[in-house]
Amino acid sequence: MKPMKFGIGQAVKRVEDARLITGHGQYTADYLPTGTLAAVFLRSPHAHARFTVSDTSAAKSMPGVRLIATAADVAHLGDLPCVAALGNSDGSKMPLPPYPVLAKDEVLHVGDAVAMVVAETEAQAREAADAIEIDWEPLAAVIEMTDAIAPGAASVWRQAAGNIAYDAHMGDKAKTDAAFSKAAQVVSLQVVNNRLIANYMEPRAAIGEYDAASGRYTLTVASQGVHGLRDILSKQILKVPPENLRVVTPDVGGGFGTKAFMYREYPLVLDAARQVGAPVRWVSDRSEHFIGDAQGRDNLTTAEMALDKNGRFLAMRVDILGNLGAYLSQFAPYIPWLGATMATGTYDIPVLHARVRGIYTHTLPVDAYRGAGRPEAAYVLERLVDQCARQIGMPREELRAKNFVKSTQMPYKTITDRTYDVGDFEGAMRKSLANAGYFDFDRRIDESKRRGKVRGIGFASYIECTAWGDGEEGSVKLEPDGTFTVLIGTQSNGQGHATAYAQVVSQHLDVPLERIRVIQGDSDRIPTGHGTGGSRSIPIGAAMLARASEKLSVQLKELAADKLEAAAADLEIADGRVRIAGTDRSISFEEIAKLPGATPEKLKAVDEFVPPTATYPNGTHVCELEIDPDTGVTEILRYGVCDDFGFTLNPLLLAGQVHGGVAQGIGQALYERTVYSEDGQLLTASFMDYCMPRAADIPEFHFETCNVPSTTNPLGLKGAGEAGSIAACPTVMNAVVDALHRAYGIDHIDMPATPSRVFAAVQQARH
Amino acid sequence: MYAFNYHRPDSVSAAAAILAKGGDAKLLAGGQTLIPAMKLRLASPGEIIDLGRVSELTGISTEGKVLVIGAMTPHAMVAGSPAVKSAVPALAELAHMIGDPAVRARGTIGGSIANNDPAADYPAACLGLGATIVTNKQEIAADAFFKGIFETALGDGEIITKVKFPAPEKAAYAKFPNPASRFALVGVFIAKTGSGVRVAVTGAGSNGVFRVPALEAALAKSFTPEAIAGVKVGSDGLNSDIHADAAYRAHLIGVMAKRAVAAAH
Repeated sequence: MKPMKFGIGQAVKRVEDARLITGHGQYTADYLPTGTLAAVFLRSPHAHARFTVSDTSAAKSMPGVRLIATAADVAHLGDLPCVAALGNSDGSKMPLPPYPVLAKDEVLHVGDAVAMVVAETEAQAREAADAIEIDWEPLAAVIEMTDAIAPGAASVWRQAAGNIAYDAHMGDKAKTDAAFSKAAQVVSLQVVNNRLIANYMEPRAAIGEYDAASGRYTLTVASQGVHGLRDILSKQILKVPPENLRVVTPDVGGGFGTKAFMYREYPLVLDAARQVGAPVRWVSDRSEHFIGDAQGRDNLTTAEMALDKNGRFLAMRVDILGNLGAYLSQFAPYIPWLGATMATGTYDIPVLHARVRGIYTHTLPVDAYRGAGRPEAAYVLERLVDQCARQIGMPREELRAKNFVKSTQMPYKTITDRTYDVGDFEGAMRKSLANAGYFDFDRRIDESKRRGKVRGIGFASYIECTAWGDGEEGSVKLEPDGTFTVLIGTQSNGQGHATAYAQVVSQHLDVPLERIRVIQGDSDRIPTGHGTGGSRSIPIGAAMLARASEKLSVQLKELAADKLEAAAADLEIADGRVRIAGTDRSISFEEIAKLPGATPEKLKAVDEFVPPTATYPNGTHVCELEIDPDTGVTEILRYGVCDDFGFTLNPLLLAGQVHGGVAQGIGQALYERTVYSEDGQLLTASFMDYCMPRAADIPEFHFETCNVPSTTNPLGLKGAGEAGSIAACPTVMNAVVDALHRAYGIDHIDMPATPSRVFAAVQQARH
Repeated sequence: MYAFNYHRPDSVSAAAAILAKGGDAKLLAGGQTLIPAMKLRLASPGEIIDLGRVSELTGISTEGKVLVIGAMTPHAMVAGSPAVKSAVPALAELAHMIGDPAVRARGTIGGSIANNDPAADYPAACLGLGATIVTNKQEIAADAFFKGIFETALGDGEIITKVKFPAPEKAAYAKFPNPASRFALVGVFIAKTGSGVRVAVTGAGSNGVFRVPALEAALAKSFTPEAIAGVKVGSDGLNSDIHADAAYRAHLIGVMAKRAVAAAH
């Protein structure tokens, strides 16, 4: 590809940053139409209880109060749909219990919404919410998955016996059993993938407006894509035609998947706006985020590997328990299943049997969170492979090299029915280990020992799937002033889409990025869209825009050819002008836009790209760390990355995605812990108890790519948004276990490896 | 946050006069605990008496071998004060470990001590250095001041005006922060003074800050980390929570004590 100054491949700084870091961002909560009322939600203090709202009259008569809604008042609204039902292994379909917009008669988790109060000020609404009288009858709650599936456990849903939402199987059980029975060695491991709370910087917010004259609703919301919300809200919940609802998303301060879902507050603020005849705004604070938004991960997985006497993997068995919480969030059941489809990772494992069970508990709903199933799968597999290496006494890198899918085997179809098109897993591993000084590690152990520390090194070779499913349609248009406007239905949550997409356009039209406007987040202006998630926005969105931009460049040359009296084939685009190649005769885009033949159709190009299948980013991360056995504190010393993202659109944005993802993975591995008490109270409901990674916890990264272009999109891109968070957990934990194993013979510890947990493990091993 | 009446007196006597009227009044002395509690609607005082404009309460001076710190002196000022660094460097270091820069800019020593959060840092310094807490009514020895979690010897209408720290021969504070909140999971302040060794522990005790006589006795014989290597700190009376059980806290007291002795200067 021809290098263009601002084009594809250039390390262009983000065009968004000056605005965002000087406080000029416009987030949902910054939108405050005149006369806006405040909505607050009364939430359950119990994990499981029957309740009756005995009296709202006192609350209704309080100053400023305009509306109080309980379940009975919103019976005309549809339930929140789950769009990802799975089939059970016995052929039956999983039942889909209702997820009403407000809880009726029974609450199922702490934070379950039971009433909405709308008042002139938020303080008035809160005062009124306090005055609503509710009779609670607490019921037995079930919190841990292992308790939930035990006989006699309290039940979350009558429809789900044993609290099992679904029991799905993948692969061939008989073949797997046979392979295990022949195996020279079997290695097994049970690991917890800890539940996470997203904690984006910007908590969710939503503003509902209703225009009585036209019957149109407008929702302004911090989301990951407006079109999906519009369709579900209009058709299934509000029960109005989609054209009667506009959904707008301005700047978003972090999403991580968690902002993608339909939430109760969205239809409720719209319905309230219609009822009271004024805009109604709800803004979550940090405390409400902890008990109001879907949570992530929370798997308990048992995995077994069958090996022959030479260390070749013969078969794998996986048993996944995925905690879904109390209600089925939009994509919840699919997440553990998606993980199972990546169970064999980078390895050539011919036989597999996976059992995946979704479990109900009286906890907050669990849904996709950065990686969504794939981090869980990579974590299980890479921990298990390290365990195999320890148990059979083979170096970790040798065992991996022996079992990797070879680049000569590509395209390679996994036993889980995925087709990896390209990849050089061993190459990435070798390069990453060399960069990390892996083979000199022993020399550094003594230096730690002298300071009373134990040192470990670990790595993980991951693969994940991104950018599958729906395509993306978008357009590039030349405006009368010579600037360009891109319309696209993906949704930046801070990733830098405006920069990346503008680079793609600049590649074909050679204009500086400030002359390209990227418009997202308005269902009225952008005809279609599938939002941002699954690392799809660049592999699909950029691939589409590259085609649209090229198409537009041809159209503009045709217009210019007429004016310049030259053949379109003799024209080139350079420095923001169309010129006859090799001459100084040219025409600016502004002039082209004013040509008599410049009809709107000719000044705009629309295209669509539908990916034929997923892309498969992969790579190896290496982590070196030190543990203080006196306190249990782990300190990461070095972290190296060698990733295959196919093709690099912008090296700065790419590194930013990987750094952020790895930081999130480090957070999960060492710090973040979601703890519910036995009766379902969330004990880690603020930053006093929920530990986020801080800047000082994150080491300097070595990051490089070892790209092998993907064959499934025109630019060769592979999605990069989630990879860091997928690779980092097994990488860090393999290093933690390595340190503990070298010093104390410990071969298992669960995430997060907090100081107290590490200390306890060391104490136990010493005695 | 609930509604309240706001007062901003410019002298201790004026503040005391408002306080004397009762009416569920609270002194605002930096507000790093009170304001979040009010925002979360966990506290709902009817009257807020902001001491921020009482200039006589802010400042640092030395009187002979005694360091005197005004009650409204923010942590950042203590952390950066040449007088503190010279007389009791461990106190400046402790102040620098409190919270984050924003907290250190607003939070005050008097506010911290009066609140007596069981995981706060300053109570360990006061008890460890044998400080005297001066109020508008009396002087109270640190040993008699901290009465239990969020409990002090302060009576109704009493306002801390300053804290007097006798300069030790050497001292240090070693803190093991709660990974999430960065409050002390265990904080150990050790001071070697002319009249002996004092060891004060914060963060760990279920009844707030406390002294450890066994460590003090061992260190009085030999002020070295080795002298306390064999001293077992019991876990009776220590907190257990999701971050650390009592046994781990007991162990950390020993580890932090050794580190404090090694660092003392």
